Amino acid sequence: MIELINVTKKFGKNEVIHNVSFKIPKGRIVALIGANGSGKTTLMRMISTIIEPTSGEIFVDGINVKKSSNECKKRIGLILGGDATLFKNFTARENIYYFARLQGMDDNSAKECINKISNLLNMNDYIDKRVDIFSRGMRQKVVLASALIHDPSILLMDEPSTGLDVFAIIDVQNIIKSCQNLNKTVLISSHNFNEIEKLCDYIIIIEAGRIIFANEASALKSLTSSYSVEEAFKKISGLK
Amino acid sequence: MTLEIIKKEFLKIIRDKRSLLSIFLPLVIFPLIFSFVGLQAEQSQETLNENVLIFSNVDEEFLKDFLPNLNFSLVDCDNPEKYLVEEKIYAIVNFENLDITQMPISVNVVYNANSNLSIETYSKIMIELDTVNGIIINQNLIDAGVNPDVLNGISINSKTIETNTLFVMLAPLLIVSLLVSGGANVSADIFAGEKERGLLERTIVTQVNKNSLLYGKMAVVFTMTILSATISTLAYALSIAINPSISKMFGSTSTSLNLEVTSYIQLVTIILTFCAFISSVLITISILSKNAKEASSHMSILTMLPSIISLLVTFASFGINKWAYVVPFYGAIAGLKLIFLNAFEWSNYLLLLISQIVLCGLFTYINQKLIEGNKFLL
Repeated sequence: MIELINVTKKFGKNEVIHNVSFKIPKGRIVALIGANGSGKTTLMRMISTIIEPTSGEIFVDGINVKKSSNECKKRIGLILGGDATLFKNFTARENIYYFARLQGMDDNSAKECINKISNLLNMNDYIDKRVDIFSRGMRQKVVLASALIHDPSILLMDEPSTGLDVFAIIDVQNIIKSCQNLNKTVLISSHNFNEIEKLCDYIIIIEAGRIIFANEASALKSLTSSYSVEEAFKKISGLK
Repeated sequence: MTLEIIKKEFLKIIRDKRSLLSIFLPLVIFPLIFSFVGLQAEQSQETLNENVLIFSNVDEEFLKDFLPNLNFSLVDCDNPEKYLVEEKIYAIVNFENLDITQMPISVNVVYNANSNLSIETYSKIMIELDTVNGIIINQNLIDAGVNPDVLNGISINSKTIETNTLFVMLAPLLIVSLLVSGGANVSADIFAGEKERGLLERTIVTQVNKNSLLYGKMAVVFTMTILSATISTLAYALSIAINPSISKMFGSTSTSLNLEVTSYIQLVTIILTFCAFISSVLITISILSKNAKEASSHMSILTMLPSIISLLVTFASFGINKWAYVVPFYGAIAGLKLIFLNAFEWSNYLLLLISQIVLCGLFTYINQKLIEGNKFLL
């Protein structure tokens, strides 16, 4: 569960998030949609404890992000910046192990969890190979594995399938769907409406730092009398 | 957590061929360069000892009588100055008046200041002319019934206390500049590169403590600066040991470095504190830079500083104001030079040591403040 109450963020005098409030129920796959510069990344960064809001409060699984940031971090898996967020001259196992250790896992449980997640994501063939020889799809899987290694209840993803081929997109989407089966909340920032339509059952639309819609995908469609999320987004944003 | 960060950073360096090459390359490059220069120096010396090529307006027999101790060959040419520039001859020795009974005998010597062979030849000719001049004066005084010893007002006995001049001249510059570049090679990526690729954001959204992150990375840069300086100094010492003629080229008769125990203590502590200071500065640059490229360009300015400051130290008198030792880089280079001469005063040493510790503390504090609020990620 993610909850934002009257959150505002200013960079100097520039207010980029204006008094935002919304609540994402547990176990949902949520799309965060908005134009470039609308405040999506700032919102993601605030939820993931990277930056603090200027005012307002953020709760992750009922825990205040500002007061107990370490407790929140245990519950968050973060994927920002795609496959670049790996150490290129490390193997997939070394990459995942490093993040497992930083999440406070001991040596044995880290190794055990890596074997499990490698089986789960079908990475056994290349888990001990260096990631610099991987395709983007394989790398994205390693990023996902290292974000999921500590079993977070919330997964924050920025453009998870950008630059991937068709097969890799299907793989990544299956992993995201399986997260829902494990009752994890997934917040995806994306411009890909096909992906949103397929995966997300909850939509948040942000425009110039203000939330203009936050509810079920079906509610968005009926509110705008649209057949698709893309059409609904265009109508609600005043786009033709 | 700090240990995990350190292990990861070292693994990154070990797997990066470029980083490894930049650290260990001096072990091969230095002896090669010095061997080449040494060989050239020896060849020049042999050439001069065997035969000096000169042009003169007198014949060979006349010149051999006049300068009996100079091994020379006369070269005949139309344009001797052109030959001198082209190093086909090393000097021109022309007599204005061929009647040597007329005093004083006027000799014009022309040499090429851009050629080492010509400079060496000129000094040999001057020594010879000085000897001949002494003989003529003595003979004239005796002919006039005067004891030549009346011209000796002072009897001078000089003694030179010398350490390895070349080492003292170059080692402080090499140690400091290679130490800085060794640290710069790894620190550009350590914060700035990881920030650029989004790795730092992912690292921060874990249980890792910010201080563990900072000190872990700082420890790696610190180790790399020391490793780099040690390897380069060893390579340098090895090169001089292999080619002692290099030291002689710089006018040094000593090829060894006789450091006292106290100087070793000063050397190690000054280098360690300088490494700590420079590591904290490099980390500051890396934190403040947007990406690895920007960090590298800022660091390249820092790596140029030792060369510029070394020039200042070379031309500065050793009686510099003691407060100059608190000036970053200048103090370390000037201090190291005096340490190699076993002449660094303890009060100045303490001033330098404390200033480096204070500067390291100051930059570490700045680094802590910079990463505290994650503002450096924006």
